[in-house]
Amino acid sequence: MKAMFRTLAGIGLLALLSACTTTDSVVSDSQLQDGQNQAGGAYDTRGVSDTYGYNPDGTANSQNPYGQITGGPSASQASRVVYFDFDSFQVKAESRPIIEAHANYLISNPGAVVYLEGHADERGTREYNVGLGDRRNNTVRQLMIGMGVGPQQIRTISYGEERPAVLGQDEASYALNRRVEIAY
Amino acid sequence: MSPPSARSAAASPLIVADADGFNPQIILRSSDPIMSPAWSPDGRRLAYVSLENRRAQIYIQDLFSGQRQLLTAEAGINGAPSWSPDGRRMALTLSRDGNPEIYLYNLLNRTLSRLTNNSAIDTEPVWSPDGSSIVFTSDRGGSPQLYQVPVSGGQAQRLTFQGNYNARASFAPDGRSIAFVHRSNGRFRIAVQNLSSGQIRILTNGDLDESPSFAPNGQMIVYATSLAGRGELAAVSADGKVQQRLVLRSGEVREPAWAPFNN
Repeated sequence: MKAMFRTLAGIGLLALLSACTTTDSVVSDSQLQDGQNQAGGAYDTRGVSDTYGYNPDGTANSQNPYGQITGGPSASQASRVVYFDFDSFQVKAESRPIIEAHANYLISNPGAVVYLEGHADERGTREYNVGLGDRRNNTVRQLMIGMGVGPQQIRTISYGEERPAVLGQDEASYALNRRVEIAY
Repeated sequence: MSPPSARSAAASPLIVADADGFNPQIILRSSDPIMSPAWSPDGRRLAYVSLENRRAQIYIQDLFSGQRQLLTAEAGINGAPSWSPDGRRMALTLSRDGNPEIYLYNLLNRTLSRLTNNSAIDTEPVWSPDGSSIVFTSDRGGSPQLYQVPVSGGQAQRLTFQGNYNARASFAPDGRSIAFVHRSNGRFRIAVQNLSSGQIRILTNGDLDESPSFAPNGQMIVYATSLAGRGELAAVSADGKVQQRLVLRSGEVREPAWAPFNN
């Protein structure tokens, strides 16, 4: 075994296989190749769990994949996604009320911790896109701190282009992938 | 209504295979993204970025024992690890001080020093083969471009001037040229630039080509490309004359890295 690894290390390629299996519902490869827009739908999703992530009915206290209890304002009060323009980390005016709602929740719940999860569209290099997601996180973080949220209540992670919201290769899909998700 | 997000647990194994794509071996499986695999110069260890458990971390994993060791887990980015040619240091990207900067991690005494200090995104560091300088991506001039800075610190010199997106360099083993991702007419392609003349040559013709990695003999560059929306690996000769697809196995493949020497 060791000899084989040595050989492999010597002449080998190192690579990542991406997303060949998912635990949730997935779109098939043929669907991906045939174009991303299904009849009547604006986009495909890569599979959405009903137990974590975006929470369309705003139900609090559902479990995220890490076993923690989710929190935050309900979706009727605030969305959990802030969108950005291409290669930009400026928060648009329309997104400010979303951030305010979360800031108010965090101020009212000083023990709560929010995760800002920054994302980029797939264009460009992967680590530079991690940089873009990080800057988007930081813009939202600074706004929240300016609104009175304690810095210790905010954690950030940038996924770059590694976790797209939708899989299309068109501007409408890219716009949905340039985002910060606000999670608890 | 806002769209749902794709938060499914995507299995994304890290594999080592022969250069022709045979004998794939899974080095690591994770339900969360793994990024930016990098070989140690002796080919015995790998560094990579893990986004497990809602935080970015850089690990070093021994290929023989399979054991892994946590290198950094700072707040924010822990990314883009690159070994120094002598194996004693790691260049990497952290954003713990507010925005993405290049740091050098001394693997012997486990100390960190900061190499860049700029309000821009500074990332994707790679060592020159002689170990004297680092080439990295920065948008300090308004668009992502490649810069070079001495390992001892000091003023960074801009290397790329053609087009408004040049990023993620890979050094040729002789240190005379770099391969990188170059955007031209909205398409991302692999280009090579001669460092003394500044001449660049676009080698590939895909729409989303990325992650170039020079072979140790300097003759070929392996890279990731997108065919009908699927991630595949391909190789191109350094003069652009020979193109080749590499078929690893079913499933999408990305971020290839050529091992540091030929046995």
